Amino acid sequence: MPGEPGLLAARDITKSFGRFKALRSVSLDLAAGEFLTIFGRNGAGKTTFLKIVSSIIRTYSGSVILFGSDLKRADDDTRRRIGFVSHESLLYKDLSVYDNLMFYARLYRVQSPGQRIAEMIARVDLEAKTTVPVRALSRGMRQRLALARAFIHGPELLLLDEPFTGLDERASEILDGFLDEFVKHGGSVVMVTHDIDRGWRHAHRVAVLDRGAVVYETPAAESSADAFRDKYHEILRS
Amino acid sequence: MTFAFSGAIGMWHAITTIFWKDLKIELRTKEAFSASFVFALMVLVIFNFTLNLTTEEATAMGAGFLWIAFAFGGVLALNRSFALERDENCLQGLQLAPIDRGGVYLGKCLANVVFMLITELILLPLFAVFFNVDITARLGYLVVVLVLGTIGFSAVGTLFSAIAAHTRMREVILPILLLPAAVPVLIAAVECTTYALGGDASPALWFRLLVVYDVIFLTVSFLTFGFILQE
Amino acid sequence: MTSAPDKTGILLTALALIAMLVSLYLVFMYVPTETTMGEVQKIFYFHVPSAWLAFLAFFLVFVFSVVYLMRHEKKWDNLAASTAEIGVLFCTLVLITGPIWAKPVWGIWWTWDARLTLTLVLWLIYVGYLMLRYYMVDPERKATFAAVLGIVGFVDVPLVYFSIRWWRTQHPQPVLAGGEGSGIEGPMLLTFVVCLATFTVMFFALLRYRYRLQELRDALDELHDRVDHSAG
Repeated sequence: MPGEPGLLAARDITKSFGRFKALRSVSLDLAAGEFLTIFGRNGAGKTTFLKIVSSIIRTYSGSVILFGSDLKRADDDTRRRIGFVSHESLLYKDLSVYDNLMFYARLYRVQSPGQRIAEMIARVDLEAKTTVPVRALSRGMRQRLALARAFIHGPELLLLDEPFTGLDERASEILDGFLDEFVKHGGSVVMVTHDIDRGWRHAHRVAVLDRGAVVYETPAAESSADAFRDKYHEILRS
Repeated sequence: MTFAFSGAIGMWHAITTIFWKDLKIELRTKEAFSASFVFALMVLVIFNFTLNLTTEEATAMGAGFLWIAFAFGGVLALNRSFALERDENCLQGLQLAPIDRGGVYLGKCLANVVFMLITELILLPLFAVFFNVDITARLGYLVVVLVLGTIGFSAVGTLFSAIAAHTRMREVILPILLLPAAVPVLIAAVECTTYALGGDASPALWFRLLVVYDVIFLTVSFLTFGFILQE
Repeated sequence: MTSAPDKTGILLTALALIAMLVSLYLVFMYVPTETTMGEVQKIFYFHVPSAWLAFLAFFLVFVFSVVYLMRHEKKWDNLAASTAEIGVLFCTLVLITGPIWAKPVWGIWWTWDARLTLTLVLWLIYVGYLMLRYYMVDPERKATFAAVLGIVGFVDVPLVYFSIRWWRTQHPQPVLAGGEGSGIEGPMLLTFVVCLATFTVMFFALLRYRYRLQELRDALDELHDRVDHSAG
């Protein structure tokens, strides 16, 4: 249902500690079914923004409305509708592929977890490794398993923090496939990255964060990857 | 009322999920057990060599040796408790999860209590053999004291383990924070254990202190753990 | 921006200086020497105020920690950090002056007396608090963790105290005559009260400077930050 307003509405978010300001009056919106990519260099405040939306950070000023309710009173139901992918796998090295997924399925109270886990393991092509501990998996396999972990509970909003960092070709393809399908089924996405090609590929809208503030925002349809690239480099030079 | 009920169900779910996960990891690696057991055993052996006690002396002082061994071994198990959440940033997985943070604390704490108790219950007969001490005099009482003392020690220890996991030198910082804070529970546990091994002094006051310490620090840690998990 | 002269700080320092001179006069010239313990008893006028201020400091760390967790404002963390450092300083003074007093009077440097032992355990707890701060990098996380420790540490104080006191009654040691400040009156009481006031003023002067230092450090960090940004 593209066009349905206000899945996420962030207004004037300021996050500071002492004199340090991580975010300065950031306002961003996300419609249901929309894919927003936020670009910016390291330390621009991108990760802080995602942590606020996922309610890992609760101390800030301004307001965030997510799924129609105020995030400062976010409850477990709000958390359950969010999926988070970062460049770290969030996997336990000593647990098997199956046990890792089972742990996260139980955390999120997935219905009939056994079936769901089998389905996810098949999607990331790890059927042969079900009982193998993560420690013994190759780097690429771990990345695929990390994706299965993030999607295990069928989130409605996906937050991606530099998801392509360190991914190999195979895992990147699987992630691209996941994202295409996720958006096709009406899921909403906020991705932060500094990789223009990957970030642009799925985006309906792009924004640039610099020194904690939104300095540029445009619908992807009204620009092109090359035009945006020039614009982005110009911003970084300023 | 239904709200409170579903809250309790949610809490129980969080505790069992975390506990199940830590148990699985421990069954697979046995790292917490092997580290704390071997270290604690070493402490007992060193005591024997350095002090060379008679049976009477060992009976009188054994409680102290036991709890020093338990505490030092326990520190190793506790250190590992949150070190394994730090690898691959698993802690963030817990931050994101739709579960009660207090439940995460209680689940981790329960796992640590169980791991420490297993070590302690295996060390106990070895202690009896090494030092020729009769541990059967008040065995039931002894086990209750072990349980209460271990709960107190890991109530604070689990909270401090989460804190230490974020520091440089985390292996050093945990005992530095934990041991002075655990002074009351260690004194109380030693006094009660001395009685359990055949001492005369009534431990009623100490037993009460053990219970009070457990209740206070389970509560304080439960209430403050949410801040540790928040950013 | 913070270079304006700190009038409160200067006032506190001047006050502390004058009070210190008065205290020294009272302790060494005015107050009569105690008859059983002799000259060494005069250390009492430094030892006991130090102990009181160490306890006050750790109580304030607890209060600032609670306020920090409620408000998440850096100034409360700065206050807690500053107070803890000064608390450890006074705690150290207690542990140094205690044995100096004990040796001539009791014939031993150290005894596991309830108050002395409590002070030692507190010293260990709050040195741990300072070490934790030193070993953490992220300032916000440092503030939160330190606040939790500041609360847990203080909640522990009565438990430590009672456990040591009961332990002492079960493991009696030689009875030592002349407890601290047992029934002082007249000139001694006056001198003691003046000394306590002096130490308290000094405590707040030190706290003021330590807190301002922290603010300057934060300002410096921010400048470094800006330089990094414009260079990068």
